[in-house]
Amino acid sequence: MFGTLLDKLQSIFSKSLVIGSIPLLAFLVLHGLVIYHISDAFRARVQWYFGLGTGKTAELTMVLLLGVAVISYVLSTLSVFLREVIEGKHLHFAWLEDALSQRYRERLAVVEENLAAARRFRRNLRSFQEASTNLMGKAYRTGQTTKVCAYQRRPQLTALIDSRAANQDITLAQLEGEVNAIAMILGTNSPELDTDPSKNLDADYVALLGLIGYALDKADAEYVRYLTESQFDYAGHDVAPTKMGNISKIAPYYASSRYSMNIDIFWTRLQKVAQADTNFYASLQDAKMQLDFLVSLIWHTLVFTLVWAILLPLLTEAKYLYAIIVVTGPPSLWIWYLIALQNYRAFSDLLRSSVDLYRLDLLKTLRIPLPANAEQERLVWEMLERRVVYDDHSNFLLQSS
Amino acid sequence: MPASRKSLLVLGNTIRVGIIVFYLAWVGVGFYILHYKTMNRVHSQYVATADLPVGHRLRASDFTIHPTVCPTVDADRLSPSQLTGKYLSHSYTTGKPLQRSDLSVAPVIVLGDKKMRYVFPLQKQLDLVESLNTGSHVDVCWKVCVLENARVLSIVGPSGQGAEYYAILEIAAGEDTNVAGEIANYRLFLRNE
Repeated sequence: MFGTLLDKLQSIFSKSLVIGSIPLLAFLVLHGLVIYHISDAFRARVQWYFGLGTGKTAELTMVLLLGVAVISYVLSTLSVFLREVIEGKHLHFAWLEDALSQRYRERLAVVEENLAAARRFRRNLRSFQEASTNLMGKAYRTGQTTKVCAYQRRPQLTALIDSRAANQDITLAQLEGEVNAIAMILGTNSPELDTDPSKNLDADYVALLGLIGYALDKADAEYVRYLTESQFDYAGHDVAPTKMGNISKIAPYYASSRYSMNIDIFWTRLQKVAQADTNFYASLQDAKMQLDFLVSLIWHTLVFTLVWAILLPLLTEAKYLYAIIVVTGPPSLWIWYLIALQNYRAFSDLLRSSVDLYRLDLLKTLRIPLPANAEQERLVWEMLERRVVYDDHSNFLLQSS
Repeated sequence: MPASRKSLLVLGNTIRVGIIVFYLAWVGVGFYILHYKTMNRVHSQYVATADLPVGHRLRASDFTIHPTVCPTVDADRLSPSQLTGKYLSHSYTTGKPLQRSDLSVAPVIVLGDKKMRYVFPLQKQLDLVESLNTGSHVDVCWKVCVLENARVLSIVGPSGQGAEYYAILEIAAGEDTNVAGEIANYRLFLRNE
């Protein structure tokens, strides 16, 4: 249902129809080239077509383009269904859906586990950073009072500096060992004398602080990576049989989990409000158009590959053409799919942004007083949903203007 | 009984791998079919439309697509332009399928006993290139006919630019002296076609 509503975004725009026709046109040409290669009769037709003379060829071309436009329009009405098939929404058998989605449930479990571990590690590292800074600072000040320095760098510290230069991970235990060693050395050696050992000690003290900062940056990056995967690839624990299916669920899940807003119900209304921001709405439409373009490309590539992978051997035709099609078809399909996933993530992010940015404007448009806080807002959306969907008669206070 | 996590995972992966294996298997079958069928068929796409002697230089009218081969689909067949201009290394009867192995790029010339070749330039009679062929008989004349009923052994075409065609004639030893020195003036006259 949500997909159908989204599709209304573009159905009225001729620009999207034109762009949506590009994959169809491209693949009709490809089909034509294959048929031209294998069929004398078709070849004769093509020669007849080009021998008609400029005027008649142009007329026939117009008729053909009109045909393409009609097919494109018909296919555009199927675009939601075709996208939903890729999202794994029409599998019909629950066991099949469960089996295919199990892989993503497993991955989600790993992501959540890694995310928790990264969060713990980051927290421990921050505490360690504070404690070690204090420890080494105290030792530094003690060492300042001594007037001697006999320092030689430990090989373990050199190894850690090398690890940093090679962008390798540094463990907390490794850092702890070095901090304790340097703190002990700093307590009995002055890092502020004008001698080489003293200068080296000071430099290594600074380097060790830098290593702790480096480990923290790496931990932050890892945490963000897992957080992004969990937020951009999964809608909570409602897991779909395909990656695209999981991404498609994110925006509705986001609206529901953050605001108790049912985006299936309120999207059309929200869209009306979002249209007021022409720049944002144009971005939303463009993202949708790109997604539909890629979904169309996936289907055309799939159909082209399968049709000719089956027909050419049955017709015992064109061995080399068959080789090209069966070898290049699946990788092309996979590449389109990966690009489509990226576009879907961007589109999904725009949908979430539109919920964040325009939901309160929607309440204003509906003349419902703005809630005082976030929890009250949840209640408002839940009550609105009940009233709109279930004909619940709970009363609302409406603003007069 | 609810399925276990592990069994679902195995089933899901089996389905995914199964689709890939099925595709690869079909691709393999497809290659097998194409290879097998091609071996049996490629050389029998065209049949001779008339009896053709050894050394005959093929023209578009000398062959046609085999009536039992579907004329609408045939991508692996040689195009007619790949056949025309080639020479037959074996004779063909009407309806016999042309074999690629019987086609030669170089002229195939079968010379009779005690006979010799005479190369006659066709620059001034290019219209004869299409009407003369192996087995044709010609007279060589200028004012008078110095050679009569000479058999054409082959027609040799140009390899690059220019229209340098020659008729290779079969003549008796010594007959070449009849046209020596005056060859630019002599013309061929087709006798039996």
